[in-house]
Amino acid sequence: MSALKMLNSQSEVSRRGQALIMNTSAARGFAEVLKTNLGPKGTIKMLVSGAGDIRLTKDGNVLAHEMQIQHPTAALIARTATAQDDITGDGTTTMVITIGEFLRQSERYLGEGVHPRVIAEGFELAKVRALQFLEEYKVQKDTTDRALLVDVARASLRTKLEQELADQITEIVVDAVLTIRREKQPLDLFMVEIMTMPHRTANETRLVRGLVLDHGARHPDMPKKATNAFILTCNVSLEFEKTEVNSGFYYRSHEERQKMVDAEHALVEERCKKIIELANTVRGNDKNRGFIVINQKGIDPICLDMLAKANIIGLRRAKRRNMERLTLACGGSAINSVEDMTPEVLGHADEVQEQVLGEEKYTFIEGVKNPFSCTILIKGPNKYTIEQIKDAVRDGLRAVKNTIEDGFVVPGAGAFQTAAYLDLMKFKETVSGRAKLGVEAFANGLLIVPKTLAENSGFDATEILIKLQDEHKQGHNVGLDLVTGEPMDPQDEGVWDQYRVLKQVLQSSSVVAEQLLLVDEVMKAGKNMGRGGQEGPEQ
Amino acid sequence: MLGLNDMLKEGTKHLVGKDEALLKNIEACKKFSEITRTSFGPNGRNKMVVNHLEKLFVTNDAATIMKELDVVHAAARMLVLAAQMQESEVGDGTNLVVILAGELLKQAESLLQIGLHPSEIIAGYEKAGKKALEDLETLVVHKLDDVRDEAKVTHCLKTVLSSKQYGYEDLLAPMIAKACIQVCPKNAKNFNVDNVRVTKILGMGVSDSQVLKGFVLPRPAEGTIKHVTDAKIAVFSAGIDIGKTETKGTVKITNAEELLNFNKGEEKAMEEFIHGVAEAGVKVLVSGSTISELALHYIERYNMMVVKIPSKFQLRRVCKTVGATPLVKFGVPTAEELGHCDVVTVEEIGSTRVTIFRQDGEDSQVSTIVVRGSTDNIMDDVERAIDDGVNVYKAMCRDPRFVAGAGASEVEIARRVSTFGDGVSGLDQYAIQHFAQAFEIIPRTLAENAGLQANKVVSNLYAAHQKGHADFGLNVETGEVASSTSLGFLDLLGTKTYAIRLATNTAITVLRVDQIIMSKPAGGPKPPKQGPMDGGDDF
Repeated sequence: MSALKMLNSQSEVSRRGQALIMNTSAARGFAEVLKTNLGPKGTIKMLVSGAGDIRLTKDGNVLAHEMQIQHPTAALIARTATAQDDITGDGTTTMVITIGEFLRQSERYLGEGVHPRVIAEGFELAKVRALQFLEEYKVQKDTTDRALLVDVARASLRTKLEQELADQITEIVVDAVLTIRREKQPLDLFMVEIMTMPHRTANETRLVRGLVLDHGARHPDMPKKATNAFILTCNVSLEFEKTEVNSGFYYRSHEERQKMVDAEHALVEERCKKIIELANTVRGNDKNRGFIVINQKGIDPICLDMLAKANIIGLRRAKRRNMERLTLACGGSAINSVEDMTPEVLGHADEVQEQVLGEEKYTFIEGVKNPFSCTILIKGPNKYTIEQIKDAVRDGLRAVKNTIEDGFVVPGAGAFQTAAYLDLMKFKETVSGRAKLGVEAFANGLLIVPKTLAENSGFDATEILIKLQDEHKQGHNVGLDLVTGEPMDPQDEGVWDQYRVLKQVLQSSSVVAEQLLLVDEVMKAGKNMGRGGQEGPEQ
Repeated sequence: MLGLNDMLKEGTKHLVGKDEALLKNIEACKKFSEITRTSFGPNGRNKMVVNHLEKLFVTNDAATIMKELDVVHAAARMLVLAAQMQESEVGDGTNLVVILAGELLKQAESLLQIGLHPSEIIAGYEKAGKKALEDLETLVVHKLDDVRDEAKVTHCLKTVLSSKQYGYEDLLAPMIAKACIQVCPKNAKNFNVDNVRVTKILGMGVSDSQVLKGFVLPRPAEGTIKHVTDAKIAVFSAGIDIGKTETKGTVKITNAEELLNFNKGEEKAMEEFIHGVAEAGVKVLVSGSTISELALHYIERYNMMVVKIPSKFQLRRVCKTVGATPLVKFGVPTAEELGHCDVVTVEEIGSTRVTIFRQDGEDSQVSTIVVRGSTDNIMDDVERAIDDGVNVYKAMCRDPRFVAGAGASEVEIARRVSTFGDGVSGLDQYAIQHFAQAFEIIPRTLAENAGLQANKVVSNLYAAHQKGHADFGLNVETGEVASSTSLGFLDLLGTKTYAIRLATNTAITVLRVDQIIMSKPAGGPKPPKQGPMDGGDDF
């Protein structure tokens, strides 16, 4: 009986061997689940939430999030995967299966009585070496080249969506990032608005150079369409606001009351009139030019009416984030009071249009001059399709951003992993002592990626691995062609991995694997571990 | 090694692989499509559905059946979602989607049983789906050249209605045609389904239904004036009452005289206002909210009619009908803001008193079909048929091309895709052949529902098509195979294209799933649906 049991009879303890077995088996089990998702030929998982909502996904991050993992070891790995996603936006599945494989490889040696510490040391050495190798192996490219970015994004997106759709989205995300890119300024992906419309088919997803807002004008007489329009972005309240102190009116007669009614609204009306005045001045004699007021605050019915009469489209309660995007897309600047209003603060758009879908209204602001903000409009026949595309678009954007920022790419399709394996095996010879074993386990562990890619495409994994290694030994830098099952040159085919994703995977996976190896006691007070609980850690 | 189930929250189900996930899903979809199958076509039978609120539906409209069934099975839910999308995009052909998707999956099941991999089936289905849609384009047999010609439109609407309300199609089709053409805007593409209203009034029979140019409001007028002709109409969206301050107001009165004066002042102001309105020539007032007693008094005195419409959507429709601008402020309207209506009258139809805004001239933007029927269920079903008809008219305005109905185009597609499959090498040819076979389900179902021998009918159809009669379909009344075009069985190309696309996509999505992870169903009532933050309009 352990000391903890004496302190808390409800607690559970698993020690030494047991703890290690539990950790390795959980890591392997979790990896096994995600394995089938890897690569373009991976299969889809269907998640059904408690409320019965359906979600289809191949994305490791989404799965790690939505699966409600309770097992402590699996949860730890899932969290690492989530961190991977936060940092790089991709490579979550790779991360999970690599950790699983590292532990599986070390199990062999542990069984022979090697101390986990020794293996962990080997891992550490191997990690440093692998990172070094990555630095040598990476390819420096002009990452502002659109063709290259398309290649990188395609490689990432094809693992999330079916091929045809992935290729289409690829173009969209690359163009979106290139639109918002400004010289010498960090990329801000928030400037790409992602808007979804449950409408038509996924193939109609497109990039809107401008903005799409998910609300519309609130007055039936306002024009539904405006061309060559001025855009006024403002944060001015156009509705009556109550005083902050508790106030009231006293009146004696109807006339007095009427005056108060009028006075109450006079201030707001004054502001509204100023806007209309500005509209009339800038429009001049050209009455066909549109004028759109996009307000972050409210616009009350009376003001809406005034605006409608002046042929102005008024949108109220725009989202905060859209205010920033609007000025970036259309030009001009956002104003906070009508006093600042000059013709210079106005933006411009060639076409503003309202579209109604059932009860939802959408406003399209398109044809802007020099956009630094744009919208990816995702369409799809149902919620799960839209969600799936949305996750993919997010990852695609990140992939493009990573590449631009890194300035490097790495040949993909398992080429790096194979090359790193061979390099580590050479390195192993130079390592003295038992840490050799750890290096070997690490090297073997890396091969899980090409192995799984082959398995998921229905090829014989061992055969493929040998083929790839042979080619590499002859100095050919090859990856796996998933269609033919033959080695191919990823540089020719345009299959590129992102540098920072691989770097992060090497870093984190080895750290987590080491940590799990070095755990010798799992203590849990109170609740039972795992499922069913009774036998707890003894599984 | 730990399985996934050991890692997840208790109660979570995890289904993996062909047998557990895929075949179960297919089974569920098959079962589901069998439910709606018997409701397909003119001889389709009705279903009695009692929903969770214990409301009874008697209908053969697949969209309604599915909506009320509250399907929870995840895969079957995907079929429902596909059908709902069809409903919201085209408004017709929901049953076609479900039957076709169900049949495609059934065919896939037999392919799986002979050992094909899902990915091969998917590849085949994708190819075949593309081919089917291409072929469909070439099967156009009829083009509606004038969307304003009642006879021609009626001709095209008949097929749709005969599958919903068999026997009434000769009555309903001309009514729908008339109602739609009345409100069809100059640019027919902008036709708005919302402008054709359906009002259900209990009593008489379906054959007593009629079309009205104008709008029927299911409530009587407020005052005693019940009939007005050639009337100017003022619409107040904010109600007819003396203005109130937003800030709390208190009447401060110190003696009896002041009280009297205050009342008198109010009365005077109201009289002035109503007098002004009457002076402007207004005969009917419409209020979107309350009408004060005082106002009502003066309105009566000036012999004007007053109608209260609490729903802002209804109010907007009235505005459209009469061409008025809704007034937000209490004040005498200008001439442009007034609307005009030829007859406003309160009538008693059945035991319901309704207010009819009727336009005898050309300028109504709203038309109403008054549906009569002996029970609510009958009227509901007729309404659904009318909805489908109006939606088809809208689709017609966008794309006036028709293909031969009564199973003719399906058999032709089956024939052509099958020939196409013969020329394809590789395993996906099996999938293409089965895809083609799946289309037979349409004429088969038509025949089965009509009590004919399905096998004989299908082989007769094939024989006719082989001879080059590409438009030969099944005449369900005689059981003979004849030219659909000359019988007037026409299906809209758009409906069919969309249905095939959705059905194919859904089937493919179901096939792509290899694992299902289901959370424990959440207990308790579902959370209320959240509307948009800034929901609704002020008018």
